[in-house]
Amino acid sequence: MADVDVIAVLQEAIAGGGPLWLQVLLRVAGAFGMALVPLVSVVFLIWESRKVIARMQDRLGPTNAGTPAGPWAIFQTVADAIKILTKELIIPEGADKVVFIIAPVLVVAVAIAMWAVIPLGPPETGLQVVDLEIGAFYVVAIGSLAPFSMIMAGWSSRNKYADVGAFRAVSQIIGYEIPQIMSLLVPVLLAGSMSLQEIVASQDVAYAISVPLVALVYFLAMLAEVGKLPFELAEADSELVAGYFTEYSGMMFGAFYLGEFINAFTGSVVFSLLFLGGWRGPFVDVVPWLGPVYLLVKAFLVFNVMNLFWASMPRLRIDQVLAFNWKALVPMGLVVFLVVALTDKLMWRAGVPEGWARAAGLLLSNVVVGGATALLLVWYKRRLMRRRAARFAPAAVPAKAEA
Amino acid sequence: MIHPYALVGLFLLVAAIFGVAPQLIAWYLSPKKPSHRKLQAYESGNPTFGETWIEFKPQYYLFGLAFVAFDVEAAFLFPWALAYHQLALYAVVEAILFVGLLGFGLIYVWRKGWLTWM
Amino acid sequence: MSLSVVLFLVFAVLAIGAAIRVVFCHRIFHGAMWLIVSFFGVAAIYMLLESPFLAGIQLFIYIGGVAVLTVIAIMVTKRVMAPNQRTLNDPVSAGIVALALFGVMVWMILSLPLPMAPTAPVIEGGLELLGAALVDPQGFLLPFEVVSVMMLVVLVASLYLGRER
Repeated sequence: MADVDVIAVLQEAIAGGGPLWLQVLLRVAGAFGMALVPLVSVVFLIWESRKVIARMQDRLGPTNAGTPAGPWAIFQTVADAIKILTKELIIPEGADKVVFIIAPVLVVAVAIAMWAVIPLGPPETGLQVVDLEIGAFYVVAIGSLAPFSMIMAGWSSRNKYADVGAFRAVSQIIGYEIPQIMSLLVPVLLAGSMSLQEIVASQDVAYAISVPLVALVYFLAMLAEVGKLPFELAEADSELVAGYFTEYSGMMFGAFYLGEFINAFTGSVVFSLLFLGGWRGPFVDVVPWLGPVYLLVKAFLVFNVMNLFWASMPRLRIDQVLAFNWKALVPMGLVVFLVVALTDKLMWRAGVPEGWARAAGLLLSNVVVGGATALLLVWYKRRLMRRRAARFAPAAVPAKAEA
Repeated sequence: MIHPYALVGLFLLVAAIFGVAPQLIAWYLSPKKPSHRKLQAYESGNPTFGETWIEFKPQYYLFGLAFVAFDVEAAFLFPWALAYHQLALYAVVEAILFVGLLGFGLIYVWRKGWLTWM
Repeated sequence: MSLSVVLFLVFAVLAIGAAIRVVFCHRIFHGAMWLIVSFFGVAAIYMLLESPFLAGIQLFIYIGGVAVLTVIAIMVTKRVMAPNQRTLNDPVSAGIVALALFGVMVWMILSLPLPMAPTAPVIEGGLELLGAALVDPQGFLLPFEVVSVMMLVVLVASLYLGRER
């Protein structure tokens, strides 16, 4: 057998040449690798969340007292995973079997499918499965499949609580997709492309600095989409048992839990890509492999801000959730999108150069909108207070009317 | 060179595998001992009574419809956003009109009180 | 038979087959699920036509919006009907109307001069051109704004009809 230089053949295949089967094999391996990133990260993040939230709430969280869970219980998640994999899978009598089983599969599949377009590092490192020119839109499109697993889970369980939970969760998710899309459109607008790599590349000034209001809208919408507190009514730990996945046991339940954490992590990563400059950071052009490090650090920070919310906020009711969306977040998303588009175009007309000057202009526009909203809320609250006072002091009202 | 869309399809397949795998593992590893109690619908320990039934609330459907209206809106804004850098100022004004019309509708239904959830 | 033709046939069969299942399904909820499969098939065909944006729109508006809405409607109204109630009172008339409609559609499609091969080349940067065309007064500006008016009507009318009385 002739001597084959394996390394040279591999390099050629990576560069795009070489035999087709080898290229396919490499791509499949890459796809598996990328799909493993969220899974492995989540194993760590579930433990980290429990520890951090516990500390925020002045308690300890999982410890290794008497159990073989490692120092600080770092293997807790692994132990939980093993436990959940060995629990009996109970399918209730009246349940619609096929749909009941597909729902948990769909949850995890959709959560992982989003990672097809996520760039972990600059293009030189090749840490992206595909750089679709519609990258950001792909994330939105895959995300819109999320309500289905809920509907399927809730409906097929044939259980009133699951049904109600599913309806509410779906209303929440589809409602908050609107501000999420409107705020996602801003980086697309400013970068002139939907490709995630190009959006990252265009962030000489991170968009969180130039359009913080948009970042805030996206963050809040994302919180609701992944179902973290205060938008946690889908789970509602102490109310509807476990919401739409009440009837699920074992790994089928585990799949929903896993899917939620993966989505939370994906959301943090996407937020970092869109608004925090993704893999950008000092010396990235010299050492491209620093890119994924920066991205993961940023995503980790965002994820922990979500944990902060989780540890400290109460759960909102469905009517509060929907009211906040349609009466606050959607109008804000629309307004700030239009304001940013208008401001940037005016600056372009005025000949303001790209980079810091434009960023400052956009920041100013955000501050103006934010300030106007704050004033509006204050004025509205004063009016509400005045009305309440008038109701409880009717004698005062005729006197005012005469004067 | 492998076509990028084929890669997307490949990745979707991989994602589906990762969705199915945990269930298969669990099905293999878990005990199967069905009993009457376990198979009943869960209602905090009490046996269910009556058919599983919830009230008919049109609000769920209406909020979904509102979502679709804004969804279509957003879909049109994507190509506009892509072309943004080549467009003149009046194009932005037109987009403001586009979004403003629907935004006005939102404010209208809000003021009329039809946006409340029961 | 090139790969793209094979793939097209696969997805076309999927889309049509799923659509047929929708009609012949016993359980209406399963029908909705098959409808979604059909939409996926159409989205895949859009991808084959080198239009990932349209595929995404299909996912995001048809599946994420229209299908969700349909399912909500099913779930909410199913409670009012008994599970296996026959809702079709006059199958003969319904059949005649359906056949007539089908006939009209077939006649319309056959009377169009259909090219047998794609005539328009795929344009690089087509989406930007679409965006520019949407706001071009000589382009699609009027339909663009009319879409917004239409959505306004949808929003206000449906919420009016469903208001609390």
